[in-house]
Amino acid sequence: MRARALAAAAALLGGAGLLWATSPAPRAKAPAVPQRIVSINLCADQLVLALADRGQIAGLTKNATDIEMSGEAAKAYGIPLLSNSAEQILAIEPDLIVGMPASRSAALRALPRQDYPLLDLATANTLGEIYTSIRETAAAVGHPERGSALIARMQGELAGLPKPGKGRVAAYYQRRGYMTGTGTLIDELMGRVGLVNLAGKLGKPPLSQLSLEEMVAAQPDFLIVESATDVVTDQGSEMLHHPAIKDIPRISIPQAWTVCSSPAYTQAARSITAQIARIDGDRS
Amino acid sequence: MNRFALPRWSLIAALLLLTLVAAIGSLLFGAVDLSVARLIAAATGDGDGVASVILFDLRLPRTILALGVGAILGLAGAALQGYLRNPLAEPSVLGTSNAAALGGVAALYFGIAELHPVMLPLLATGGALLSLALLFILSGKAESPLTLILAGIAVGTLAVAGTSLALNLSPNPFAAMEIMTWLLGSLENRSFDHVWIALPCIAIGGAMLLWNGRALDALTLGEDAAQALGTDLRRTRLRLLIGTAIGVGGAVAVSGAIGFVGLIVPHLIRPLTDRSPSAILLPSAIGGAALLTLADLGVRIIPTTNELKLGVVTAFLGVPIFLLHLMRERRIW
Amino acid sequence: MVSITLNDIGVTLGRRTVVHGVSAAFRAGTLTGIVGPNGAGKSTLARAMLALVPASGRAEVDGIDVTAMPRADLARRIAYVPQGQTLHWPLTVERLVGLGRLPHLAPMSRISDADSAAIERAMARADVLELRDRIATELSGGERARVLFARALAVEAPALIADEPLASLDPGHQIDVMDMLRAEAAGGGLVIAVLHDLTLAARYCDRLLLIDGGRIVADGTPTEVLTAERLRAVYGIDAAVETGGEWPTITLFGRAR
Repeated sequence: MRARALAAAAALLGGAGLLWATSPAPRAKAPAVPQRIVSINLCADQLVLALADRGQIAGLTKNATDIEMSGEAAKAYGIPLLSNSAEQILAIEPDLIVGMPASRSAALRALPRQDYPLLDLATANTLGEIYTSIRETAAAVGHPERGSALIARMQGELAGLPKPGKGRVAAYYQRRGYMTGTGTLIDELMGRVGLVNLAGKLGKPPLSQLSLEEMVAAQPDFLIVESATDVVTDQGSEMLHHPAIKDIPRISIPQAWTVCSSPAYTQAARSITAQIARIDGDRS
Repeated sequence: MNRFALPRWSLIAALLLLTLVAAIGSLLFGAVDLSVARLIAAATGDGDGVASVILFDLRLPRTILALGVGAILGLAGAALQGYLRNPLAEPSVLGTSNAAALGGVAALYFGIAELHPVMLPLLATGGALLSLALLFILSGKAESPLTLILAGIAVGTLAVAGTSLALNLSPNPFAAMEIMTWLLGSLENRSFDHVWIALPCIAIGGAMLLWNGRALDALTLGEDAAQALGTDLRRTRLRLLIGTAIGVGGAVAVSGAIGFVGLIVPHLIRPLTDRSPSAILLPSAIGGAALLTLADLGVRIIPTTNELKLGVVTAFLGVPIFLLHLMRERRIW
Repeated sequence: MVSITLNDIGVTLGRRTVVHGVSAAFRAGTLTGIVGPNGAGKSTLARAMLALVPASGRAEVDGIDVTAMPRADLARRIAYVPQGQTLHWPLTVERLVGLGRLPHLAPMSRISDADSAAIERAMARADVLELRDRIATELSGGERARVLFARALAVEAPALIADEPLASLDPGHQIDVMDMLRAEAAGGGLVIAVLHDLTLAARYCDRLLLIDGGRIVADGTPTEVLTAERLRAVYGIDAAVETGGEWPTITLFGRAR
């Protein structure tokens, strides 16, 4: 949720991030194929892992190997994990820093030199923006052809995808009752599989808190939950197992596939369609 | 004669009435506006599904917990004040609630609670018991009320630090948010599962605390006089320790550490009685039930983006009373 | 007839032995004063009779070991006025005096008519009837002493132990309290009072127990116990004791040199 709240906040401030990126700060030019890439947030980790060679990557964030949060976790093992400290970045002497977004990073601001080559990606809230960030990253890490190939593969996978939602209403319901709203990747994902986002129906902002009572009253056809909350581990996840909402059919997907605008988007889309089909199959 | 003292039965009747009103309010109001007619229909069994789920699965367990948790916190405050002869004594000021929260946190976040449902209240009770024992050792036989409160601050701070540490050590990435709920308390999103955890503990603990009326009265004259009046102090202390630990432990295990209820309620009730410790026990339990239910109603009605934590409301009510007592005591220090 | 017997009582508090092998017997109808310098073990000895401190030897009430007796049982036999006017809650005088009935109440029962009558008698004897609705913590020291005494009387125990009941009272109120103790003994009660005022002790007590260093130094009538040599030895004071009258009178001169 923390990561998602961050992502949502970043979405709200997305414009600001872009502004910062285009500001005329003196930046060193990255070499054509950088060899010491440092990623400073989880979303950037995903793109770097998908597009750069393992040997090019000098540092990822500490959640990069968490299978619940990182879609490319398997590839991340063995690569140094940084704890968002300027010291570590300084020691690496990176020839490319990737952030999504890189603005507002305290660690970067703390660096004595501000002229490291920087790729500041905007937070993507649509599939098109995902493709853009893939293309930009691929170019920055020196493998533009991999970007094109990845985009083509994703387009292929999504093209054949059915729309089993049939206009039914779903809520993306997270720990502590946070609900993901319109203008987000989740919202686009729902539309892609034929679901209507409850948050949109209720006119809620990109991230809102919906009480169990309101959820019961709203009676969505599906709850989409993060697979990490499938078992009760704390009070935050406990509420998603409240008897009051136990009868609403559930679709469970790993947060890793949706938390970032990453190539895992297609996996999420495929999984949701498959789960809707299974729920419908059980019913008939 | 005390000008405000009410006959015992009329005080209890008035408090019960207030509690009933609070409970009905708690069932009527919530995040979703449901008409009274729709709720009554749901209550009588021929309502729509949404209304009956909201009434029976959400509002009813929450109301029952508010009543029970409030009752045990009010009662524990009254009993501890009587035993320690200090109007500032109560579970949260003495660090007992926070220690129970630490026990609960340990049970939940290290997977101990999954072994058996009884582990959660058991560890919370254990935490509370340890803190009370530590408190009694730290404050010893000191007559100054300050010593006890300082010992309570030490125990409470230790428990809060322990809770933070436990959550930070646990594999949970959402520790910060969880810490807040445990330290400020909340009854949001509770179900009957929680009722079954808390209520038996509250009933057992409550019975053990109510048992002490006469011993607490005798303690008005000091420990020696109380024993010379036939009080078995050792048993009283044991009943009080275990009763408070079980009751507060069971309550905190589901609600987190809600502060000051045990301070506010006896303070308000005492002037309405003959001021003897036994006279405030039962009224403080009923008053605590009413207060916490009303406070919980408040957090639902006060329009905020995120629901207020219960401990925020009770702290705003409780701290002025705490300060009032401090000012009064200051001349003795 | 109530009796208290001490047989080789010893009390050790922490590492310090406060009372050494004290033996004595107390009978109904007498007022016994326990006197001695500060730290002599007077209060501790009194507390040992009530099983309030762990003691070696044997303290008996009516022939029964006090440590073996249920507390409520002991409470019905000996009423106790502890040192200091401890009062933690602002109770009314009547409610406070009523605490004296606690040893008589059956479990889960309220105060009976018989209890109410005993409370009335106690308040009458201690002359606090007109204070009944006052808040006890708001009374003057003298009034409070009488109220706490009434509380002990309400127990209607055959024996009464008062620990320094005269502390912080003016002479008039001291005499009031001694009169009440005297009256209890005259009425057949076994009364023991820990006292500091030797003049009043000599004036009122039937018997004095002089204690020093945890041991009984002298035991007998005031005339037998209070001699100038003993006062010099025990208190380190120079005093003249006149024994011509009904009771000895003591004139203090100063520290012994």
